Amino acid sequence: MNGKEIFALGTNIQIYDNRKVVLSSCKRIVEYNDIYLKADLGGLMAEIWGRELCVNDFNKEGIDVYGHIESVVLSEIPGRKKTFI
Amino acid sequence: MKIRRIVSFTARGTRLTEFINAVHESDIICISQRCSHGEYSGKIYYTDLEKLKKEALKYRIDMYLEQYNSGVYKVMRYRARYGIVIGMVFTAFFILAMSNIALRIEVNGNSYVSDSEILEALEDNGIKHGAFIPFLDLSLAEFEVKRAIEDLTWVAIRNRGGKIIVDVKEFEHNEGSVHSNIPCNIVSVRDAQIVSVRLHRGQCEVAEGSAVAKGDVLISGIQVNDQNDFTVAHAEGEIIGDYVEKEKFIRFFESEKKEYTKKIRKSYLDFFGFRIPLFIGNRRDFNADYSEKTDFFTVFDHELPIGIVSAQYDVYDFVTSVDTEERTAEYLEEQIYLYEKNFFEMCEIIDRKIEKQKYDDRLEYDVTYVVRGSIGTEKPVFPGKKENRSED
Repeated sequence: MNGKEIFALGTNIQIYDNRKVVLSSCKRIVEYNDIYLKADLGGLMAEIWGRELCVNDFNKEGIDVYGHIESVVLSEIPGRKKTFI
Repeated sequence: MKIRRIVSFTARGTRLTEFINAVHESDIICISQRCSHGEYSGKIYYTDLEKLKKEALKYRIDMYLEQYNSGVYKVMRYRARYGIVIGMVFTAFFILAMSNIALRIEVNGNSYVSDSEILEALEDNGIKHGAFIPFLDLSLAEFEVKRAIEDLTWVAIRNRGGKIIVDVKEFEHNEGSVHSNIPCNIVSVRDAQIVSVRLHRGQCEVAEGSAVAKGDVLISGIQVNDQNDFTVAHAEGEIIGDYVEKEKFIRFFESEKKEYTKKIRKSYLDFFGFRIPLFIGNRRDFNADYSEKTDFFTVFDHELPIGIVSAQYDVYDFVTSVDTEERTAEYLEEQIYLYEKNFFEMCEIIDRKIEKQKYDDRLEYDVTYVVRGSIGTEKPVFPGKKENRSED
């Protein structure tokens, strides 16, 4: 168990249908366009594929991504381990 | 509808991703972000616009502000129209004033107590046209008006906006009558000689032809039987008697009379009870008989509290005139006729004797009547607070 798990500081990801993904902590947006968004979640990299992707940023560290979501790919940093959802 | 002003922007540049992250890291709330074909667009609150511009300048981003969208923006477009603000303030003040100032006073439920009597009593308690309603104590006024006018049994005062509604209930006005469930006697109100007796209930104490004095019991409501047990009842009956009335009429030969010279007509605008003159003129400094007629405007058969008052002044001067003896006598006979018509309408005049006396400056007629009429009045056996009134 690491410190993050003990203090529940891990990233919270919520997926609503295929319409919205909420990332609770987003350190940096690496790449963003209409069909692809790559965000650094601090230890995890999230890649969201879809169509007409929009982002709402309510200044609470996280972001809301909505549109037509097709896949969400999470990968650890550093490392090559990928998790498909 | 959004209230805060929202600005839509579109940004282009080579360092677009850095700009997006800068927006994300700053405390700017940005919604509906889209990034497509090298253009980054979104919406922010107007208050964050300067921060966004700074970030755009830092990353050399070209930014286009597309539109303002909010209710506040729509209102701000009219911020230089001072008339709108003044009008709104005036309207608010007008509505407040019209709701809290007594513009109209309505009296309901009265038949023989006149409106003017009730309005006078209300005015003594501060309730009049133009009074500020929150300062009025309506409960106290109800009590005071009822106390001031004895003929009222119940008074309720309420207001509906600028209209004050006064509901009253009067005592049943039967002259000299007592409620039928209250034991009473019928007593004589004057010295008289009994002509006829019609007994409905009670014990008759007088006979036809007998003389009675004022205050004598004519029909008794107390009945005593052989065992000296007594019962009380509401005596009923009609006693007719002959009695004498005297009256003196005096008229001086020299008198001041009104001589009418001209009529003056003036108009006023009656606006919610306030009279606004529709003329320019000096104050009235003449003697005149005054009459007026008010025509209120109507809309769909509903009368509005706005109308035109047509006032007429019949101007007169006092002129001293000396009448002849014949003219003075005629005047006195007119007076006698009016007196008989007013006071003996329900009676029969059996005899009339006129004693005329002439002096240097006047004529006097001493008239003695023998009148036949009802002489009884109801008087409770057990006198209470309200002896001669019907109670609910």
